[in-house]
Amino acid sequence: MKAILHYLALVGLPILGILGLLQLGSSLQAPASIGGIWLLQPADAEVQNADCAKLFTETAVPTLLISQSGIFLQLTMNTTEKLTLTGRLTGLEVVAEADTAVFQATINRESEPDSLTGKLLIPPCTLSLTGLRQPELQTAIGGH
Amino acid sequence: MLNLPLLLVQVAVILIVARLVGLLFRKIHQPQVMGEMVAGILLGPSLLGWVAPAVTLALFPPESLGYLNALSQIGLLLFMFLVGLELDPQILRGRGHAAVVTSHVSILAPFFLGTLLALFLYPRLSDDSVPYVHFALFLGIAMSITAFPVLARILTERNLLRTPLGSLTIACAAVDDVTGWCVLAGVVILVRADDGVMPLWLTLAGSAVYIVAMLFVIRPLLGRLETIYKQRGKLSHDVMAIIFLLVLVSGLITEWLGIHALFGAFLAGAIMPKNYRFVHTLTEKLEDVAVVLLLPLFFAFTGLRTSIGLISGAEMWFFCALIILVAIMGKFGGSTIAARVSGIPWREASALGILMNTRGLMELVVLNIGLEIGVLSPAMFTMMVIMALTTTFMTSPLLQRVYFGTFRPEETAVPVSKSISPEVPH
Repeated sequence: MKAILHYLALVGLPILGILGLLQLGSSLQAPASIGGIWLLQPADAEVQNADCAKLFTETAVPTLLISQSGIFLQLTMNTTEKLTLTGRLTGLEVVAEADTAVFQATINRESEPDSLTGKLLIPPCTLSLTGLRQPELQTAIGGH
Repeated sequence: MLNLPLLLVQVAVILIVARLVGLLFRKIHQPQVMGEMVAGILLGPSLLGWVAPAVTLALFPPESLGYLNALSQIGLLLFMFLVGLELDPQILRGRGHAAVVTSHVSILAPFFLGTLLALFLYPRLSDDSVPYVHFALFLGIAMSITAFPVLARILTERNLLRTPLGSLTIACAAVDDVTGWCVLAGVVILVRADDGVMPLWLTLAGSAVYIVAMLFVIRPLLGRLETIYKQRGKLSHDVMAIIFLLVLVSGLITEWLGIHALFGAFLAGAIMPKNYRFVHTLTEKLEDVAVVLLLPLFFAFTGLRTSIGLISGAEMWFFCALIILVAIMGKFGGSTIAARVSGIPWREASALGILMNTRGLMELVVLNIGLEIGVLSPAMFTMMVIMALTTTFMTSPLLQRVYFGTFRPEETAVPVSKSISPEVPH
């Protein structure tokens, strides 16, 4: 009898607890999913500016790879010199920084596919960007 | 296109680094597998990619990783087959109340704490493409995993396998393994059903038919392989071909059903005849290629996915520490308390908790599945890999300190199932 009571306490209670926790967490809200590859479109006038002209090579399509872990982001841009920024997602606002660069953007999830409007600041260049998410493109290593 | 010279260089480099780091870890009384797991991390962006990004890019260009991954997956299939092969229901016979309670609690306690932790981590480290239930269930199961093969290796090396503690631990780990993989299969089915890959009813019905066929049709047929082996005294190429085919077809079916190919390989191993000599010969034949050559590729691929740089700032390191703490509390605490409540003295109960806390490469297998099905984010994956390494690393020194102070295992040796060979895979 004692053994059965032990078993019920040690096994039954955690099962009830797990069911309760699953129920409790079902109303939790996670950050918006924005990870993956985005195709960028720099503003024409600005990209022809002497300060910004060397940022992107003429042959490659400007892309932004967002590696997302919840609110934590790692952004990689295929600029002439590969640029990696770390940042955060607050609501639908992205703010990311590297030593010499700042990227700010607002995500629009109403559009199809998702789009962004933002600015890349690499002094002395300030570049306005728009972007479209490419959900079908995955990275080789996997992840979000 | 396949770049064969590059692939050969990749395999050679991985093999050299895995053996060297494994050797170093053996010198500090850690299992070889621990060193090989660390070797994988060293080859990834956490060290080589950080110190010499140009070398990483030349050695592991993204377009070449598909082939490396394919080879590592073949290795994993064979390894999971070996893990299933090592499992023997005989282990559980006569272990009584303590084994039942301890094994069940050692799954449920970390599972409970994992789902509790999910409440805190979901809004911070996941995103809305992953439903909370998937995240919580996966975190729960990832916390519950015990590395049966690593445990068997540690128990053998420490001459504990034939002690009451060793036999109880191995019985609990076996139950954990089977239960863990079943629950994980359930979670994968749930996630993939939501992705619309295959209707849930078809997966469930197909899985039921597959399991029944494996247990009641294939398993009795496999008994003939054992008979042939006994008659000839060796495993012929024809028999080996049948076994390889079984692993591949079983893996193919579970992959097609939307579970994962690894489950098929595991079940194929689990239903094989458990005659000691048969298991030993088969293990010897497969182990060298699967464990020595191909498994380090899996560690390297895992290492390439693990970027410690993603854990930046005090906040993320706090999350990482919290994951490790919860994992240890759940597995070590749960197993120890359950064993103590079942009447096992504190020292043995603590030793059992320490051993059950070993996650080893089984955890890496589970985590890679989590990353592939999109339940784990890259940073969360890295944190969990660190947890797996930490809990595996701490086993040997803690066991030494807590258990081996005055105790000599030879004094209380009891027989255990012969199928636990002293040469278990990792």
